[in-house]
Amino acid sequence: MSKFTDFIDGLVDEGKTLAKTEIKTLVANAKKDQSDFVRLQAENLERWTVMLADGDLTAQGYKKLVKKMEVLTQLDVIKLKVSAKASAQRLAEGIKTLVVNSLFALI
Amino acid sequence: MGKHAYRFLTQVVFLISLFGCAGVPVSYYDATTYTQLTSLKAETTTLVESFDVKPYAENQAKIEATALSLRKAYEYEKGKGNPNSDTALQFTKISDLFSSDVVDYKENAPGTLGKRYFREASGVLGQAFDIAISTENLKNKDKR
Repeated sequence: MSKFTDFIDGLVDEGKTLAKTEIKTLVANAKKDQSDFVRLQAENLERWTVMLADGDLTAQGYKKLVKKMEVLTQLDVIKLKVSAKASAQRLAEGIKTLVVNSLFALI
Repeated sequence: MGKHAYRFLTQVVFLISLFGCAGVPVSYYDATTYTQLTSLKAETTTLVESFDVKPYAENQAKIEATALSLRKAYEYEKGKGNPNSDTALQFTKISDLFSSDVVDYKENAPGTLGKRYFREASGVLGQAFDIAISTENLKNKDKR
């Protein structure tokens, strides 16, 4: 058992509002994800939870850090958008250079 | 001209007109942007990390200077126009992250958010810069 799962399991939740198993599965799966970004965010969440358990972060500090993950996600979405646009730009320029300027001259 | 060749050329002409009309709204790689991002990453993360141990008054001048550097970098990106709007938006979000760290620093006594809170906040800021740096690296080089 890791400190992270120990902490989640140890939370008193009389109203049963916390899906403990789902949280542990979410983090475990994210840590094995193909995306570097997703793995990094899972590591962030796990580390901050352990820091909260150890008293290195207060509940307020923990919440603020977790909310910052949303901004990182927005930045990564922009990155994916730019990557797609750059691919389209390469295709458009390739067509212009190779097809219009070269191939069209031969036919 | 064969049927297949005709179909191929029709598709090519369609693609040309499509890209020609819409354009591909993305700026080219810019070495100045890359340098500014790497430099600002070092400057801001070092500063935010110090918030865990230094009082606000001791950092105030550095905070103002760094905020100005971020603003200058944003204006440079914004000035490149619509094709660079994605990068300009990334700068806005990074500047907002820095500003929220400064507000937390100003409003909370040391340790209120945790004795190592700002070290972690600095890490998040660094990750934000890393995403923007890799975004710039994904852009094509201008061959013109």
